[in-house]
Amino acid sequence: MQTLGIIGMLIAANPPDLPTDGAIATSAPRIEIDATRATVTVAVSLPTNLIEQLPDGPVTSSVGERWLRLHLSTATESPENPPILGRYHKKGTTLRFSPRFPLSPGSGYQVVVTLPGQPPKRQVFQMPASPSGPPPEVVGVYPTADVLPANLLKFYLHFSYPMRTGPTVFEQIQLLDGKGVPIQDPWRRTELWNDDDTRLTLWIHPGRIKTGVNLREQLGPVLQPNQEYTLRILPTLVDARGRPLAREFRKTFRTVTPIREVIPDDGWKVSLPPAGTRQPLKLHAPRPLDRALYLRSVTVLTSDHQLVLGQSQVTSGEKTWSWIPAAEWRSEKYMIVLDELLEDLAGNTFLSPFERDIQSLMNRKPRLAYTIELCASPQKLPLGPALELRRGLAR
Amino acid sequence: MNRQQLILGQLLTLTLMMSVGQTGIAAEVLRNPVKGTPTLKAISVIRFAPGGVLLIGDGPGSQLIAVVTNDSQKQSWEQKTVEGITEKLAARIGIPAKELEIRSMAVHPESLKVYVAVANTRTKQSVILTVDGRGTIDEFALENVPHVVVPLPKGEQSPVTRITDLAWMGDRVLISATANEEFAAKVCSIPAPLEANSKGLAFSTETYHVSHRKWETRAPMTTLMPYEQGGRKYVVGAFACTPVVRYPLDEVQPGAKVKGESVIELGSGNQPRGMFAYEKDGQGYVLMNAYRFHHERRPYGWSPYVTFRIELGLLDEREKLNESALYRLAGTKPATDRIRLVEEYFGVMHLDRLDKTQAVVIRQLPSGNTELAVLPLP
Repeated sequence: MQTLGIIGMLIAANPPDLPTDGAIATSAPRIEIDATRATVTVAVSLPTNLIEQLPDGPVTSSVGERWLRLHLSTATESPENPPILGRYHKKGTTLRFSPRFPLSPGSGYQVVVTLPGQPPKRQVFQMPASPSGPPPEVVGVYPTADVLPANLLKFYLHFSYPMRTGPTVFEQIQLLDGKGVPIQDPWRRTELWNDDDTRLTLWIHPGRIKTGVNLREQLGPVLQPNQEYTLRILPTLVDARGRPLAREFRKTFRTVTPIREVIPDDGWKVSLPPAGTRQPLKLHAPRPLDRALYLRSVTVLTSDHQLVLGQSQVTSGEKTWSWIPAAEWRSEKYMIVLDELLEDLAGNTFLSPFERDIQSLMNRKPRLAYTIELCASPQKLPLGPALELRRGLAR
Repeated sequence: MNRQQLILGQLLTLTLMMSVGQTGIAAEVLRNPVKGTPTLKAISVIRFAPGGVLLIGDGPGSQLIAVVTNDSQKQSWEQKTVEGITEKLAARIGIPAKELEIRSMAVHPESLKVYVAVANTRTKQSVILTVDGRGTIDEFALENVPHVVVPLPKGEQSPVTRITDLAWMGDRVLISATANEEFAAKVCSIPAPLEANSKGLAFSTETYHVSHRKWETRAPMTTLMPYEQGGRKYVVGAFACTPVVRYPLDEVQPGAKVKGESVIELGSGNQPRGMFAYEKDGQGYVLMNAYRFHHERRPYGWSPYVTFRIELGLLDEREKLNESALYRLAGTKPATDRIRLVEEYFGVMHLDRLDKTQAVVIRQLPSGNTELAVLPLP
C-alpha cells in the first residue's frame, strides 16, 4: 500500500493545499471552484478511522466514491445521475476530489458525502456561467452571388465562434422556396466541419442534383432554374458554449440554368503586379468557383520550381483569386499552376463535369500551368497559350 | 549471436511484450507499441481488432491509433437495458446530455464490455467510456497505454477529414473516409501488424451505384466489413441510397482503381451507419442500421433510424450484379424476403455484435429517451 502510495504520488497531479480541519471530522464538504478551467476541487475531512485506514496518496474511485461523490445536479434530492469521473487523493485528514474533465459552465452540481456513522450530507452549487461575450453570428456564406446555378452543389457557412456539432444541425438550416415553404430533405446529412468547427460545408444532396438518378426522379431536384430561394439559418443553432445565434440568417438568391460543362481553360485573365512590389497577383476565372478549393488549388512557383510563399484570397463573387507574396516580386518569370481538381459551383472540374458517367469520360488534358513574367508595370492579360513566354515591358 | 544471447533476446522481447500487455493475438495486430498518451484531435470511429486491440479512427487528425486494452475480464450481460444512456454517459463526465455527442460504439471481443466514443461538444474533447454488464459506466482512459499511431496516407487529393468507418480485415485495417470540400471517396489500406512507420495505401474504387444507375468513383462508403468467400477476401461496403457492394482485396494495389460488384440495392433515402455479419439457426445474415433521411417524406417506422437484416448468401451473388442487382423494394413494396426491415430494431443509432445470439445497441425510444439495450439477433 505504501509503495502504491509512493507511485501514486509520483504520477498524480499535486492537489491544491486546502485547509484541513484537524481533529474533528466534519462531513461538510469544502468546494473550491476554478471558473477559468471550469473545474472544482472538493474536499472533506475524514473521520479518524478512515484517516488511519487510508495512506496518503491517490485513492481509487471505487473507494473514494463510497464517501465523496460529485454529481450533475437533478431536481430530486437523491441524485439519479452516476457520480462524475474524477481523481481522489488523500492527504493528512482530508480526502479531495477533482473531476476528470471540465464541468459545464452554468450547470448545477451536487456534492454528496456519506461517511461511516454519519448521515449523508449534500451540498449544491452552480458553476459560474461562461464569461459573457457576443453571441455567435453567421459571418459569411459562400457562394456570395445572388444568382446561382440550379445545380449548385454546396454552401460554406462561416460562423464567428466554434459551433456545437451534431446531426440536429441539419434541422436548423432550411432552403425555402419562393413562397417561403421549406424544401424537404435538401441536404446531404454528413457533418463536415473545419478544424475548429467554425465552418460547415453544407452539401445539397448530390443524388437530387444528378440527372437520371432515381432520388432526383422520385423527389425532384432541390433547386429548379429561374426560381427564387432563401437559405435560412435558424437562430436556434447554438455554438459550443450553448449560446444561440444572435439572429436568424437569410440569403436569398435566384437560380439560372444548370452548369454541366467542364471548367474551360480559356477565358481566364491574369493581373500581373509590378516587380519590386508585394501587390497581389490575380487570376480571374471565367465563372465563379468553389471558394475553399480555389483558395488552395492555385500555386505560384519560381522558374526553378520553388514555391512562392504568401497568402491567397478569393473575391469578386469567387471569380478572382489573389496571391499576396511574403516577399517582393522579382522581375523574372514565375509559373502559375492550377490543380485539375478545382471545382466550380456545380462540382465541375477541368477534367470532367460533375455528372459524369465514368465509362464515357472524356480524355481531357487541360492546360493548367502557365508561365508569366513580371516587369515594372502592372498588366492584365488573358491567361492562355498566347501568354506563354510573352515578355512584358522592360524596366 | 550465440544461443545464450538468442534466448536472452527472446526473453527480453517476451518481457517487453508482457510489460506493455501485448498478447500473442494482439502481436498480429500491432508491433512495437509505445506506452504513453496518444495525441488525437477527435474520435470519429472505434472498432476492435483481435486481442482486444482498440482501433481509433481520428479523421481530423488523419490518423489511426491502435491501443492494447488489456481488458479480458468477461462480462455477463444480465442487465439488458441501461435507460437514459445519453444522460448517464454525459453525467459521468459531468455535463448535461445536450452537450454530449455519441460518436461510435463497439463491443470488446474478449471482455464483452461496450466501449462508447463520445465528444463534449463544448470543449470538443473526445472521451472513451465503457459500459459493463451491470450498467456501470467507467472511462477507458487513453493515458499511459500501449499504442501505435499510424498516419493515414495522403493520396493526391485533399486530406481525409472524416472517417466514416474502419474494420480489421485479417491482414490489414481498411478505412473509409470522405473529404470535406470535394465529393470524393477515399479508402485506405494499412497492412498489419500496425506500427508507427506503417505505409498505408490510399486507393480509389469504381462502384455501380444501383439506384443512381451509374458507375461512380466519388460517392463515399459510409460503412464496411470484411467478407470471405471461396478463399477470396473482400471488403463489403455500403453507400448512401443504398447499394451494398463487394470489392476484392487482392486487387488493392498502389494506384489501382478497385472495381466493385454491387449485389443489393436497399432503396433510396438511407445512409448506412454500421453493419456486421452473424449466424442464426444455421443461416448467415448481415445486420445493418441506417439513418433514413427520407423519414418525414416516407417513413418506414416511427424513427428515422432503421435496421435491415440481409441474407449473407446474397453477398455471394455472381450473376445478378450491378445493373441487375437485387432491389429490396419494387416501388414501395418489398421485392424479396431475403432482406427484411427489422421492426424490433427501430431507433437503433449504433449497433455491434455482443455474442453469438445478441447484439448491443444504443437506440432512441418513442418517448424520445435513449437507452443501451441488449437485443436478440433477429
